[in-house]
Amino acid sequence: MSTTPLRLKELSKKDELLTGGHRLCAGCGAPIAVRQVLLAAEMPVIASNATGCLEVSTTIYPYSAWKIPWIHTAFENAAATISGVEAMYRSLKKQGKIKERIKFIAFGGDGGTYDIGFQSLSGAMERGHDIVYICYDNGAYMNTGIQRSSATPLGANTTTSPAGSVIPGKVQPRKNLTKIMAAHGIPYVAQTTPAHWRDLMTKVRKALDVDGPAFINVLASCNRGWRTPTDTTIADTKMAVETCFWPLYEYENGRLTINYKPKEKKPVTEFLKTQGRFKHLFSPENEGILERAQELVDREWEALLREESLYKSEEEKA
Amino acid sequence: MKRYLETGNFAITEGAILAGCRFFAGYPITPATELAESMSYRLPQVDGIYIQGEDECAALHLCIGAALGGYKAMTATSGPGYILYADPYGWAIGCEIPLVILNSGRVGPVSGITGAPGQGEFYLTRYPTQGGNFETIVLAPNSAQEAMAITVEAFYLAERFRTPVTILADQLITDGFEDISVPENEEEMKEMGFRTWPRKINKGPEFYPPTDEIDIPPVVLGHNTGALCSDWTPTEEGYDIEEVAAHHKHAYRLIYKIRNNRNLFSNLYEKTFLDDDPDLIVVSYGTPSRVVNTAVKKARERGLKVGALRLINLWPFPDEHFQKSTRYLSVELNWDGQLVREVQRAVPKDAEVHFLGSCGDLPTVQDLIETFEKLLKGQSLSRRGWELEGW
Repeated sequence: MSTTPLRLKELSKKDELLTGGHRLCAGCGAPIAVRQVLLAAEMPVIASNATGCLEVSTTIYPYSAWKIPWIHTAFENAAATISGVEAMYRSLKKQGKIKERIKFIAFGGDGGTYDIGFQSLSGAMERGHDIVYICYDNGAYMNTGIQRSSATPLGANTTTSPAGSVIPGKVQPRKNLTKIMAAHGIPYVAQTTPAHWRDLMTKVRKALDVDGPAFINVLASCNRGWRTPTDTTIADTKMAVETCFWPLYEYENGRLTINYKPKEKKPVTEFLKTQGRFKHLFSPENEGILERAQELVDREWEALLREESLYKSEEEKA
Repeated sequence: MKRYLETGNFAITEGAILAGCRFFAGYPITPATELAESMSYRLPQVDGIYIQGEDECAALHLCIGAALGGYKAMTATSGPGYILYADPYGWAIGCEIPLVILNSGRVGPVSGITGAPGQGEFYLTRYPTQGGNFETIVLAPNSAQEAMAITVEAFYLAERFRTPVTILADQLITDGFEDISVPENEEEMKEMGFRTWPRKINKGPEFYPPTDEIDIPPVVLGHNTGALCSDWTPTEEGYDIEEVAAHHKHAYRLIYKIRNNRNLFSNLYEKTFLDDDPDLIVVSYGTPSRVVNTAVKKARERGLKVGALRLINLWPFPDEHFQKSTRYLSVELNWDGQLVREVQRAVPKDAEVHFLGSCGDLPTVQDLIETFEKLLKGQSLSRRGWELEGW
């Protein structure tokens, strides 16, 4: 099969598999990410989709925005359901009833992936199904109206971590799911953003190519929840990378590569200050939280750099 | 007394706080999300704790943990989350842990319709877990104001019976805006008929007495109680035991502590025009009962001899209201007919039982009056081309 080069001119000729006309908000990061994922796929794909904004807004009667076979699962089981489909496919392939290579993708938001769907995700990864799990992480339960999730960053104002005189927004830092998935020892794990389309699509191709489970975490902004204008999605997610709040990296068979190192790492406040959900952090009494947020970013970034240099020095020795 | 134009979720939050609830474990789901939101905002103001679980199962387990620590705890969800309670619900029944659980019904099965009221969990609230050998207490309010009162009552009953109590509401009750009065002190609470029961601590050594007695304080860990808490069959002291005789005592207690003390809450019902032996008794609970009450009043104006029975205490099922041999009509927000089965079981053998179900919508007053007329003329029911089975 010929592979479409990752050039906009060529890609624009491909059919969109998530079409326009869905009901997601203007500026939502999720459909941008999904379109890039599906544009990158060069083989037939089947998707399962956990309950969430992406799911409820793309299949409202009488339309479906999906031009691929698509399953809405409950909130907690996108990975388990697609695992079952994949197991069936393997059997049919073994029996010679299916010839072509089909890949299976599960989509879930951070609520359906970091929290309630975590057990089913972990199980699917451990069993080694040939699936790709794509998490679009917008950092809260946006579908039910912005409640904190374990992906919500420290200090964010949500409706169940309301910033006020008692608490300054969410008091816990977010869970580092990408690292947890890497710890599963699966063939491919990466994180990226829709602002880095070539990076995202390259990663999706790698994930689809491996024989076995793969996980990609995509930071996808939510204008309602982040309290940002609808035209800054790309700028906001880009700033997450420039500040190293959301580094672009991947694990290929356990080997870490950092895909982008900003020439000048910007302070995390550059990422936070444009978002209404962090507005309260810029008042004097919350200075400590901003310091803590910077510390968390620095610690993760430095750990990534150390880990990568370890692999490099080992390879040089070898 | 302070008056608000607010939602049922607000009323339930205030009711829970008045009842002494200081722990809420939430998980977002329409139409119960706003309850988690208001709890996350209100509880810290009264030195309470709001925790969000990673799913509903975790949320109810969190409540169990808090209750075992001596707190009055609550969680809330809708049908798709209520089924995830199956494990912790059974745990709380078996270990006799007082908890309050709110289920705001939407239209199922599965995700179904979120923005409309449904009554698909009538039986699920009776059997929220596996295994049998237990009884459950379920209360169903039909307004925001009553939801507050029922929340207070649910905490009261949970403490006295040492068991989880489900408040079965629906989307219109929790999401709808209504005129709500919130009492501001104990005197006003008494005026409104609110009763509360403090959390007491069982000091042992008889943690699980083999009787149907209520008012035995629940097991609380720590506090020098030496209590054990496990979901196996317990001995009276709380040790695990794999023995049929011990399980007989355990099961007897779980069933009969509730059945034999039903008088504590069997007053929770509303009867409208039932004093003159009506030719038709309309049975309902929750939101549809409001339409039923209006329809029955209008039907009476037209000379139809119809009465309404609204159940607030759903489980254990109040058989005593169904002694008369007459016509019954169960009006429910489901098409499969749930409450009607229980009515059929409870009525005398020669009574007539009919069913009118809605699925995602509400019956109109006109619908109901036409139905009453048909039934009183001895005609059979059909609805939108959908022929009803032989109720």
